[in-house]
Amino acid sequence: MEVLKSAFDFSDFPKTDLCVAGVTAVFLLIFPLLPHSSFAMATMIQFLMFSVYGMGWNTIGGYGGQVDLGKAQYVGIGAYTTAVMIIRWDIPFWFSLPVGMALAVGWSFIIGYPLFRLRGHYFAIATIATSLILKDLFESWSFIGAARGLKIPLKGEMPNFLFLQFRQDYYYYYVMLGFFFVALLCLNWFRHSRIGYQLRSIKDNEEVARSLGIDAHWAKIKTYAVATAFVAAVGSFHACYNFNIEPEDTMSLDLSVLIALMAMLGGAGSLWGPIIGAAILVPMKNYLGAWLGARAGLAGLDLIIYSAIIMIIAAFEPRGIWGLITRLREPRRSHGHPES
Amino acid sequence: MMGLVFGLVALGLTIIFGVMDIVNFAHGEFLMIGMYAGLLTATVFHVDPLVGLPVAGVLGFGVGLVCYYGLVRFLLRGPIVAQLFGTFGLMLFLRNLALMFMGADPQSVHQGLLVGKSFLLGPGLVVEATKLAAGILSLGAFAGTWWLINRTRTGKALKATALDAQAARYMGISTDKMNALAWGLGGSTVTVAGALLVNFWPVDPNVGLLFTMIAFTTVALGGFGSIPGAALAGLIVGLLINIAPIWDAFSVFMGWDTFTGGHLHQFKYSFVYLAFFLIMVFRPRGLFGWKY
Amino acid sequence: MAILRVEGLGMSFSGLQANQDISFAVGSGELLGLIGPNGAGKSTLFNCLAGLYAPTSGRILFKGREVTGFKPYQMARLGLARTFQVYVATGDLNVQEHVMVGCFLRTGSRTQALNKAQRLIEEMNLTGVARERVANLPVAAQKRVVMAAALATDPELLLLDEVAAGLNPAEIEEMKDVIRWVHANLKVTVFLIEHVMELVMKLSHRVLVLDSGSLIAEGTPTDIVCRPEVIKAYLGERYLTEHGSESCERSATDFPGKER
Repeated sequence: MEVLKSAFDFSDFPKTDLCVAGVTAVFLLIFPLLPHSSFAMATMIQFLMFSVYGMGWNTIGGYGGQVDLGKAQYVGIGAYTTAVMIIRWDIPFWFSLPVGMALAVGWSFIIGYPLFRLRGHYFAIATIATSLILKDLFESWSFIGAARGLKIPLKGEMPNFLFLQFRQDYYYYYVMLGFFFVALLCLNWFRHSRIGYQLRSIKDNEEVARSLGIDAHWAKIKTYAVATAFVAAVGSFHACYNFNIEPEDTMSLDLSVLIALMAMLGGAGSLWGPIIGAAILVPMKNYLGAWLGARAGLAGLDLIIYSAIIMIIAAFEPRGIWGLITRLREPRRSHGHPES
Repeated sequence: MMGLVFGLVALGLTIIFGVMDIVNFAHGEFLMIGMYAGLLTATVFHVDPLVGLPVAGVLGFGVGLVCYYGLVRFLLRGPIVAQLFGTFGLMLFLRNLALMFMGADPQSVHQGLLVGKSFLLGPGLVVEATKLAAGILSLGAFAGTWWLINRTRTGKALKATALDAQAARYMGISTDKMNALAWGLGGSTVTVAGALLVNFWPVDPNVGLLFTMIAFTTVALGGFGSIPGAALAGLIVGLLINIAPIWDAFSVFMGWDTFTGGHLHQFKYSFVYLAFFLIMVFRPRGLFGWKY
Repeated sequence: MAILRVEGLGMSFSGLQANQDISFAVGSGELLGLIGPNGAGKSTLFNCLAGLYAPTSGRILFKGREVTGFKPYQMARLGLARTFQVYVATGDLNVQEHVMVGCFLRTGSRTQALNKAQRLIEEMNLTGVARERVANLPVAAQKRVVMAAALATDPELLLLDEVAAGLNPAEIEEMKDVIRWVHANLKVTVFLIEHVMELVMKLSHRVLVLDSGSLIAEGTPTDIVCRPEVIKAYLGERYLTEHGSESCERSATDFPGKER
């Protein structure tokens, strides 16, 4: 099937990139077998989660060029669906996962339709607005625990694959790693697909894109739905991993921003960008936070550092780290090759 | 009353946007700076908060200039996403800087000429002196800014740059300086608003976000780039925010149990966000805007 | 059979009447030109046909179907493609990818799109720069890219927007060959707006002349060039009264009619 073939088609990357990717993949696979602290493991899991968040964001934010600062609302939808389904109706993770994704995607179509009449800054602010509205709603809705959130009870013996409840982190790690690889393949398929090309054309010059038969509005909405699906899936996972969810930590603006940030830092619009961004920011956030957290007077320093980084990147290399890498490579190449 | 202050807050944003098409996410943070400035002048220097106003204004102007020359100038060259992210980064930066230096607890002004006093303006309508003063001073600030922009030469130059930067350049107006001025002016109007606000609203590092959203809604409603629009919209938004608690009180009084039964006031800010969304989708030009 | 029929088209922008009561038909397989002095309303007309503007009055019929007010993407799907005079790119698409976007209108398969794109690239003489970013190419090449992408949508009618603008004489000759080739081999009806007389007069079977929003003349190149209305539009009333149009008859041999 052509879909599968293009999902696995990494052939347009130079050999060096593929080698690095291969080595990293191997590393990721064997990580739990290497000596590590539980903090490191938690960091790795977070890295995987944020990579997938970022990859989802990248479809509409990177390839599509529309900066979305409201992704966290879908994390919330995914997480809460799973949580509620487990708590109230004993439904295993693997069933609540698609339901959560479907709900999130449904919501994304509802707000996507009016949302994509906007562009640029206005779009970004509107995404913030919708995200905050939803969060406010969740915070007042007693059915789902309002601001106190929900606590997921243990369902029998661990390890429990049905409900995704494990005592040891490495189970979680491998599940998330699976998600990670699936997401990567999906994203790879996306950039080779018709919709991927259409989006990139829209980002390039929307008027030209329309003249080539692309219904820009609809294409963006579809892509937004794809991004939402990625994000909601990880949201569901998050509920099972954390056992305890509340609107403030699953749906906050800070989360939305972090997602967008990592993708942008690493390189929006490229396949590896979000992963690189997550690889840098997640450990930095965790280790810096831990190191500085001990010194009370420096609360917020880690965020000061990121924001400084963001400003510098925004001012000098908006295409992120991957953009930097490609720029450095450019003069060496005798003829260009399509970077993705 | 609050509405006028909101209007003032929005004023700065609309100026910056009108002149150079850049949306300043850090706007709320400037407000926060103004609030802290007002707070500090009152508490540390034991001076009446009213004196804090010009201090805040000058500080705001300075910070605005620094931001322009240090950051925004570079952002303008880049794609829109870069601008967005740049000012967003600025927002986080300022917010966390405040967190680091001021701590996370909300603080407010407790003494001063007008704090704690109120007037009775007709049956049952109590008006706090601080809010009244804030409203009046906001009007003053508006008038001052309007005069500055429409009657002085520099102001006209600013307007010219807003309308057509390139044409203005041909006339010998330095776009760079105008941009910087816009930032300075935008910064100072909002810091003054902050200094006014701190008299009746506690300040903490996170206060910026809420006001940024309110400012955006106000600007969207009033129309990007329009000064009277910002004023009018500010009033409307101020009204909007107060509707929810009034409705709550009213429905409880009537014995109605609407689906939230008196909890609607929790959503009052959501109304603002919703308003923003609706405005942008259905009437992006706002009331008076000439630039969308 | 008229592939495009325009009836009483008018376009006004907040009171400014850019196009007024324009009616004409484009025959299937024709190569039609549109000329007129600056400000005549050519671009407006063009954009109305392409779907960018919805005309404020009149009708447009494409292949017998009413398409007045249709959006650009709808027009493209029906078989009307257009090029752009100025192409501002903010992304990083290369030539091949850009042409593939056009191909994707008619197919969902990447392999098919790729094959089609490669063929078109070769035919448009762009094989050497297929992997280059469109934004990095010189103007003449960019125009061919834009044309290739438009052709990738398998149009029946191709609208060319000042393709000769910014080209030097050698490039103009090249462009003439390209257009001729496209018209003959791809069976595409071509409608071009042009300022560069060299190109439009030598290629077109028929020419429309627009002035101040109205259609003032219609005919073969040799024919219209000597019409008093046309001379007046370009050179002014005074020139006409001073020189008349006899000198025109003599120099009509400069335009030896249609070249195919």
